[in-house]
Amino acid sequence: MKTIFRLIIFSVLTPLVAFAQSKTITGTINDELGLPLPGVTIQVKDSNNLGAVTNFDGVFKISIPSDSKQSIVLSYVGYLTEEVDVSKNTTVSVNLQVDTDQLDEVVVIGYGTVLKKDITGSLSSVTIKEEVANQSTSVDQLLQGRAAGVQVIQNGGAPGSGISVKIRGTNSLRGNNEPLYVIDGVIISSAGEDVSSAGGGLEGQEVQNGLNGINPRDIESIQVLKDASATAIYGSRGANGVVLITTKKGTNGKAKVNAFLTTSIRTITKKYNVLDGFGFANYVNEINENNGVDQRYLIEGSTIYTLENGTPLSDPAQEFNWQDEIYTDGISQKFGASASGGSDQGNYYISAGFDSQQGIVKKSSFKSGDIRINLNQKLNDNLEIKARLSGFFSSSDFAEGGDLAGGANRSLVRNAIAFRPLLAFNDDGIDVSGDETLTSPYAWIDDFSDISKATRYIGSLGLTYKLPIKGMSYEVTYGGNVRNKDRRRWFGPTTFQGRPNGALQMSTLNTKSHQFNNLLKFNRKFNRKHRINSLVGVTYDVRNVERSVYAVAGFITTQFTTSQPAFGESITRPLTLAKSDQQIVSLLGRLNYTYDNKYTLTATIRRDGVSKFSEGNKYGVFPSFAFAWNVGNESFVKNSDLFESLKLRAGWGQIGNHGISPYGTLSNYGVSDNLYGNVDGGTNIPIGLLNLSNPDLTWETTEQLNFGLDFSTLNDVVSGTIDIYNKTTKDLLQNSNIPASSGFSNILVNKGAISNKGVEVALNFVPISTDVMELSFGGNISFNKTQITDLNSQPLQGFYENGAVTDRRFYYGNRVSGGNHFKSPANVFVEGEESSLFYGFQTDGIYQTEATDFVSLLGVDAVPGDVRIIDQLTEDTDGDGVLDSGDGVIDVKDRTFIGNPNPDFIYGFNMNLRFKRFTVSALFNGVYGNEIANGNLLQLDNAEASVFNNISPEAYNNAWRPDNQSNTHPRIGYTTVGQAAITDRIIEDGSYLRLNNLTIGYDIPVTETSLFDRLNVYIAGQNLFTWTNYSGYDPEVSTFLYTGLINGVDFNGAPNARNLLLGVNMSF
Amino acid sequence: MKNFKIILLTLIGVLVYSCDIDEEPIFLDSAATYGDLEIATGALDGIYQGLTAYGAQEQRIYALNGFSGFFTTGRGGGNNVNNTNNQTLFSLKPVYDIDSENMWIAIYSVIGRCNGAINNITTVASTSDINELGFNDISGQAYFVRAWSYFSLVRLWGDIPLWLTLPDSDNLSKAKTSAKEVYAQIISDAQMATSLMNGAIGAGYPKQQAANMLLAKVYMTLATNPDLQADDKTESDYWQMAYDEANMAYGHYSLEPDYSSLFTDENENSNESIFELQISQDAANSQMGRNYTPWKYKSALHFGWLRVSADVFLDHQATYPDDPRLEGTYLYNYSRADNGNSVKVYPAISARSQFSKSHPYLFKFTEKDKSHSNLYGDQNVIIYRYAELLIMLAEISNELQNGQQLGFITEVLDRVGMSNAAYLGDQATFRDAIMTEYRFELLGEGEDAHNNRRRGFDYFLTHTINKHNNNPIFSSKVDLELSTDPTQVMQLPIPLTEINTNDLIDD
Repeated sequence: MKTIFRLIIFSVLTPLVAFAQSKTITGTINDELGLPLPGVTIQVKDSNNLGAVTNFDGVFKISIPSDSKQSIVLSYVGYLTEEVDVSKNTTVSVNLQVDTDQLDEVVVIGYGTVLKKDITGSLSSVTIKEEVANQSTSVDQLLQGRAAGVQVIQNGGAPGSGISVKIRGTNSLRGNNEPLYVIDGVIISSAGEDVSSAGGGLEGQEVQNGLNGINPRDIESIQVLKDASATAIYGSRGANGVVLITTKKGTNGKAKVNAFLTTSIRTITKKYNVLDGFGFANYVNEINENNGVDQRYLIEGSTIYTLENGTPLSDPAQEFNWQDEIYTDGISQKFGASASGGSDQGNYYISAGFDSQQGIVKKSSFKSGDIRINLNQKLNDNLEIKARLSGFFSSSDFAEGGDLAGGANRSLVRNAIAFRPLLAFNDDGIDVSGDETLTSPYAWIDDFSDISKATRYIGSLGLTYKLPIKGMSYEVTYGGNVRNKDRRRWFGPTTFQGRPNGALQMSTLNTKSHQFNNLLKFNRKFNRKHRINSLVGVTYDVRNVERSVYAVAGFITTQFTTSQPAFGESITRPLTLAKSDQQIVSLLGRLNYTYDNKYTLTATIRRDGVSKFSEGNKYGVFPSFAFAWNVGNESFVKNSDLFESLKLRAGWGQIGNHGISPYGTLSNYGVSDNLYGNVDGGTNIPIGLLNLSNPDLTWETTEQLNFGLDFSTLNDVVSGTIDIYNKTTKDLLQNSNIPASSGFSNILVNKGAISNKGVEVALNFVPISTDVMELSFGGNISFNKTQITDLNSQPLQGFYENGAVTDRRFYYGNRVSGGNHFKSPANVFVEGEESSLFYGFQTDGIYQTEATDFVSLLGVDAVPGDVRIIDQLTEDTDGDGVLDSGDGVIDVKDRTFIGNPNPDFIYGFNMNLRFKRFTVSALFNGVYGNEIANGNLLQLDNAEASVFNNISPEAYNNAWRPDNQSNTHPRIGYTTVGQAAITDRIIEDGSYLRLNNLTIGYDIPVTETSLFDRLNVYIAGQNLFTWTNYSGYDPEVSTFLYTGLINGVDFNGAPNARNLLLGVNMSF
Repeated sequence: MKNFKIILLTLIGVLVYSCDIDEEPIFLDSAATYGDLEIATGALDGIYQGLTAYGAQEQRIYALNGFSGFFTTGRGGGNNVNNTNNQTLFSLKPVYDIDSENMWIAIYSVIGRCNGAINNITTVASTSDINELGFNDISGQAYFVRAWSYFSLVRLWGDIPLWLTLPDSDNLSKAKTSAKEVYAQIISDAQMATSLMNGAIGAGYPKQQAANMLLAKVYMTLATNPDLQADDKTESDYWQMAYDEANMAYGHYSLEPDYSSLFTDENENSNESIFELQISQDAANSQMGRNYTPWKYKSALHFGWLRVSADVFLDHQATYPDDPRLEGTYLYNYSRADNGNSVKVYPAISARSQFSKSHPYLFKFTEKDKSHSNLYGDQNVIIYRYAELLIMLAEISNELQNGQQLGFITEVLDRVGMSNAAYLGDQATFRDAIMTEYRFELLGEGEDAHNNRRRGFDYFLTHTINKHNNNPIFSSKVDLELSTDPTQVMQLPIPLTEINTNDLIDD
């Protein structure tokens, strides 16, 4: 190493070295524009110790031995290395060409761009492939598995269903950890935004994707900003990471037209195993026998008759597999086209598309159309205008209604699993086999609609003016996002919610956000060694949101379903508007300074003022600093030939977050959900305090330290990025559950701190790269550990773990369901532990007849056949300080940690092969080490002896019986209702590996025809295979996406779908 | 030109920087709400609306009746004696059930609204105008409802958190307050109510006599519970105080001639009503008719959740064979709304071989209009009525032996044409007769669980639990065996949601 340094110093200090019997070469080296290039290294080929560098005027002089091979090599960072034969001349004049391949790649960062080599923060670029973009309906699909540290949760079964994107773990305990999306500079913060639910307390209105309307096809590039130094420029908006989306623009040359067409078929990936008609008939008969009730079914050979008053009906019962009835194959089509082109003065990109998708539930659909116009135009030498406009129109029938009561008839998903598989019709054609309060799954298909109509416009207009000072420009951009949505849910008279005369819930969402950005930029190189990329700016960001809810029931005619609420008699929810406006005014500045292409410093500061907080807390200042050392440009690395590039990065920053609803500091006296009657038979308007205010609310602050390494080696065959981070968020803003005895259920508070520590590795291998064939592999893996580091605002309380009680700070998550099943919380948040651990009872098989250690639950003694809940050792009977006995009672003191919903790591890997005209690409993504609380098992895996609810064959066949004692499944009649907590019987391994996408394409030869420039056909499969031990529909659990206080819980989660697709891309 | 641009830039920057970042919500604050009589009356309606919330009305009635020892249900896992509700709450073996939990949540929510009114309204000792009268009345009603609410809670749960102010971010959890202190607060609140309520807000709202009746009930409860009594008071003091309060309401109301008419849409806010919740189908604030209308009695969806244990009916019938209250209280023989076929359950069919046919339905909350097809009903819910006050006066007078007891009970029995023969014995006989009179007159209306326990565990065991478990027609196939465990039957467990969210309560 010392030798190398000496050489460097020697070379730098003595640019001209004379040798005996030598020939002197002089010359001038200029850059691509003809300007002198100082500092260029000149070396005699094949000689390690002969060299010179150009002076300030780009001039050099070198003596070379006359016996030497007479070639010199000119090299300079960022420029293509050039070899010049000097055997016949003594003067040289060369214009070095910029190495456009790597060095000057420009990357979009917040409010500007930067040379890739000058990046100091941690960001992931997502490559957008045309065929993948054309397969995708939403931008989240492009992120899944493709960027280290980015976890995407989505469900492909229901088109348009809610999604969640998490960058570097759980940043807050509030639920909505969604990153900020910035599209061509316009902020879209709506991933979890939807209409409010107009239904009552238990109505679990499924969230729909708030990112719809950002068309993957139009996206040129996506940058995911992850660490504080990268996101700090977004101040309080960037705490959860930032996804920067740049849409396409035209390129110089003649107009290019691209068109595409895809057709796909969507099928359910997995079904729950439930009893068939015979199994169910036997089950019900056994229940009735146990309860001393007459038999319900008569089984004669292969026929089942329903017994009414002991007499079989004349027609046999009909058998149904409801999951087969409800779930079907959905056909989807998508087509669209774009045209682009441009000249030196400007360019354009115009696209339009149409998408018609069907879900796997009969009747569910999602139709959308979109247009986009992108224009860039130079108005004069100094002034350039940029215009972006996109429109999106969608209409969907969701068909996946449900609620959180957990009853068999209130949710489509639960209904399809649990509804009795036998129907028996009497002579009048009336089903007499069951309780009239139960609704057949057909009701969800025939008598339920969840219609949403949405429009979204995103537009921006920007002017860039080059100021007279070289490198300085002023940019003013005005942009906005208008999103309107109208969602109507109709529950017809045969649905549970709609009985007896139909019920209609109507909700609207009107979001208008606009931003006004003023930026002064200074971007200039000085003396080749100094490069400054800086900006200061002022932005004003307004977001106006108005939601409305209205619900009406008791329809005198049901024929108009969602279209005419006026036929309803009872207003179950008066028309109520809720406004949530926010304004943010910000000052921001960033300096990115690079010295000698080796050392880069970035400093960012942003001061945000936000309307949500009280005076005194309105303003926050968020700084960040980062440093990068481009080690690869140090001669000792360059000379070693080990790396093509090597960069070390370090960054620190603080970012605020105000991600709560507005008005949290104000007491809200509004109209109650229901009216009150009066003596005249009319109604009065009841007023109540609807939420508690907290005037002390302030910013949640995330501090993050990041170290990174980017490298490329073995002639660029291997490249990669490694990042290590430590992120702590304090003063967590949370909608904290408070005791019901206070009269309220929650309050917004700043409470606690959480840390995320992790390592992200992304690697790429390109072992073959020729004109004929290219093969590449890529992969990323992210380890993240989330820990609750501080819960100071919670008092120390007795916390039970394996029976032992210690004083700790903790609180519980939300209760999961409003019904009797799963009414306890699943998660607990304990200082010093990982976030949201599962907390409940451990179990150990089933009580057998001969057992003697029956425990009691609130005085109700366990009996043989009950699940043996472990009575934790809570008592020290012999006084030796060691707990040695349980107390014989199962209560809240017997709870302990029973699982962990946080994954050990998430990962994705891909393979891309191009061979002549064929391309094959595969993308896998996976999660490892997390557990899921599968709430569906509470009723499916316990034979609860409900004569209308179907269960799993294992629960029935392996049920404990006095004469056939099972140790796996409890007796018929056992229920978890009334228990103080969940048990480990519903905790399952949630790890999975998924073949997310496989695409095989072929470029049809078109040289013979003038019709096409390119014609590409492909077949693709999305979500083709999932390797998992999870017994539920889908280990990618998407229920309770934005709750925050319910994590890793699957309760009536919808099934997932695989999608097989055929597509054509055409260029003209 | 250059300067112009720089000025322009600066201007834009300054303009942007001076942008407004203040909030302009579209709701009221406390000053606006309680500063105007009309809006404050809306806030009073908010309190009563809270009492018609599903948890405070439908689930309260379900949990109270389930925990009284008088009822069975077909809800919660099938129409059989082994369903979850029958095996737990209805057998007096309460677990963490959702109905009592939601009742807890809903009633505390009402207390929160009362606290808002009490804390924000300024009352005056001597009123000079209609405005002051109005605010006094609203505040008085808030005190009354808070007292009623805590009385409902403390009788079921014993020691409970006592909230008298609105919570704030520094004050979110409260430990349990002893039942004795809770009772002291209830008395204080009810006394405030009697002094402030003046009827200014008008018809459909309780008057000060409702607070007198509440106070009388509280004193009666304390009279038989030495643990809850103030140090300087004796049992007879409490009976006397109860008498004084009840007597203040006496004569302000009258019994409706037709007992059954009390449970219809047609006779709402009658002369007998002392505390009644205003239900309106248009307000969609009651699903009582859906939950408690017997199977197929009407055409639209309904559940028939409450069945009266057969022995309770038998006891009533044996005591008063021709009592018109039987018809108003039970239903066991009717025609189906859909096809006209008859539906008979016990006692219309005597064989008690199947659970589903072994107990009569409770008729009081039934939607009487068989063609009614709306999910929501119109029938008001009466919480206190004059007949109960008369029975209370009879019971108190019997304890005081003031000679008025027979007169009060005769008023009640005369309405239904029943003889007072059962009351002609000694004080103890009178006492037992009056304690059963509550159930005959008021079955299912919300006080059975309290009345049955008011005289302590032994009385509960003898007169309710063992009476049921040992009744002559008892059959384990169709009847619930009520728990006899004193640690189990007297109180409900504090709901899980409270334990899990309250930093100061562990169990």
